[in-house]
Amino acid sequence: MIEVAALHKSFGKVRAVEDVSFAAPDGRITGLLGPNGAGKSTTLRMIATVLAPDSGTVKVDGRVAGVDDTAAKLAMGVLPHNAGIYPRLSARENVRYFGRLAGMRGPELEHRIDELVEWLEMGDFADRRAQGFSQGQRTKVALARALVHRPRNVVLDEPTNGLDVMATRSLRELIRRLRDQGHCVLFSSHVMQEVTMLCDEIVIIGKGRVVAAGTPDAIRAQTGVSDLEDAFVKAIGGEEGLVR
Amino acid sequence: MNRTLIVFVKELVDNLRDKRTITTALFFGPIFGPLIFMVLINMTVSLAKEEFDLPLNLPVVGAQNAPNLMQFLKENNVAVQPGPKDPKQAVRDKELALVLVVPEQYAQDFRDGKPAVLELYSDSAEAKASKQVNRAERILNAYGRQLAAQRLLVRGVSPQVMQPIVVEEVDVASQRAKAAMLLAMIPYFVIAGGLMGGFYLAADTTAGERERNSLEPLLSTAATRAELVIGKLGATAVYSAASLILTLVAYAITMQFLPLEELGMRGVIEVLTCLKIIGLSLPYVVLGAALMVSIASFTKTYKEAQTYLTFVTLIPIVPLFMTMFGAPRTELWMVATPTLSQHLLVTQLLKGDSVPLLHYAVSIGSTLALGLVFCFVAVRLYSRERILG
Repeated sequence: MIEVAALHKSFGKVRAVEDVSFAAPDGRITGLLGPNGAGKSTTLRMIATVLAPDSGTVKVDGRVAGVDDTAAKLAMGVLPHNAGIYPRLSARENVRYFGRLAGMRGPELEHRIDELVEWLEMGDFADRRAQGFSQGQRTKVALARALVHRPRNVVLDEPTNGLDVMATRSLRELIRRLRDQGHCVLFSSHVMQEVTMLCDEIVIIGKGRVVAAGTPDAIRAQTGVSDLEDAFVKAIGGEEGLVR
Repeated sequence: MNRTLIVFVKELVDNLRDKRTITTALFFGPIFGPLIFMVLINMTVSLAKEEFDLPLNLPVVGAQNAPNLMQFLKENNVAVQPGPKDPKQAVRDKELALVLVVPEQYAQDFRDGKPAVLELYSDSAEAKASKQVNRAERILNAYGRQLAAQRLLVRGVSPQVMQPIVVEEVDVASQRAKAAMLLAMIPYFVIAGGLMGGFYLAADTTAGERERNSLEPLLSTAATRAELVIGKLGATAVYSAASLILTLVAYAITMQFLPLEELGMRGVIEVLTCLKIIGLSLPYVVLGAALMVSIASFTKTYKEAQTYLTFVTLIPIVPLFMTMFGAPRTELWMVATPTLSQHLLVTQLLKGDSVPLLHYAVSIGSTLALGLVFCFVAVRLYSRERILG
């Protein structure tokens, strides 16, 4: 469960996030939807504790980021935007590194890596060095790395970026399975269709603010438009930055 | 396992697989330095030999005009060779370094007691020729003085009348001084070799990490910024230290095969001296690593990091220049100045001089202190939000 209350963040004069509040419950897929530059990544970075909010709080399973940082971080698996992996390490070694940093070791860690390799269908390339991996393979490694310490909460920043159709499909399947296992999944996207297909809860962000939030039905009701895409356009007040 | 240690081990292993890092760590210091040293020592030795043993080859035009002079030249280890048709052109075209011309007028002037002109063609822009030209001039002048003395004696005057003063030249650029200059290269290559060993790690583990977009995931892990930075810095320092030690060992081995005794240098670095040098240099490796990691944190890309870090690797040249024109007396402030300190003390050790315990303490203490300051700076720089780029 990730709870965000009254987040503010400015970079110099640019107000990237102005008053963002929402909750992403366990066992649900929560989609952070908004055009490019709306403040999605900044919000997710504050949740991931790599940025400190100017004001407002982030709670992960009740642990307040910035106060109980390590506990909050351990309760989360984060896949940042365009996450890179280490090209000179094998896929397994990349995952192992993050497992160790999360305090895992020995057979427990190895068993978990095997599990992820199987689960993410990484068998073909798990022991190869990551140099020359396809975008889909890299994303799988980065995802395995984020999940290695069995975090209750999973934060994914535009995870389908740069993936082909097949890879996107299998990633969507994975996200659903994470939800079915009871995880709290929070992911951001600027692709309308993806959010519609996948999300149980939608938080629409525009110009650094939450402009609509709730289940797809609730959002349709809020905006008074039956088509979700039209609802989105209405909520953010224009078609700018929208990818259909 | 401690997270700092996890980061440290990962960076060690990761960079061990990077060919570029390994070639720099193993090539620049340990091979390149001793190789240059070997070439320079051999050149110095052969130059010194040439100066004293080898005959001076001197092409002469019109040798038949001055048989006595030719005899004198032969006695003074000059090999007289037939001269070219056009001496001026031959020197200008660099076919010959110098040519002596004895004009036909020479014999007549000589008999008449007038100053007899000898022409010595050389190109003063040719640095290599200057030694030979000087030598030829010295011998010709000696011949002139000898003749003058004989003429005075014939007239019953003591030749000493001609010598109101005697200038005795003491060439400071003697073999010892030259040897000292060459010796000063060793601390430079040892220290610079150390920095080069950590160069790519400092760039790769910071700017490289950011460029690959692997920094943000790393910052999202449970590891604190301090744990990450200290781990990376430690790995950088270990590569630096490995390169430094390899360089030193390479020198120790190379020196055994060089004719250093001919230059009045000690040809052997003892194991104990090596250990002392390593002891003095290791704190510098920590400082260098912390400085490089700090600087790399400002840079956006790997390339940019390389550019700025190159300046760091130039720092050890400064004391080399300072000591090139005569080694200064070692004072305490010098010992307390990192880089200069290592340079002076390592040079002392290589010369076989002893280094006072106080100097060890001040050198190691001041370098470690500055190193810790930069470690702190590096951690602070990594705690900034701008580190994400």
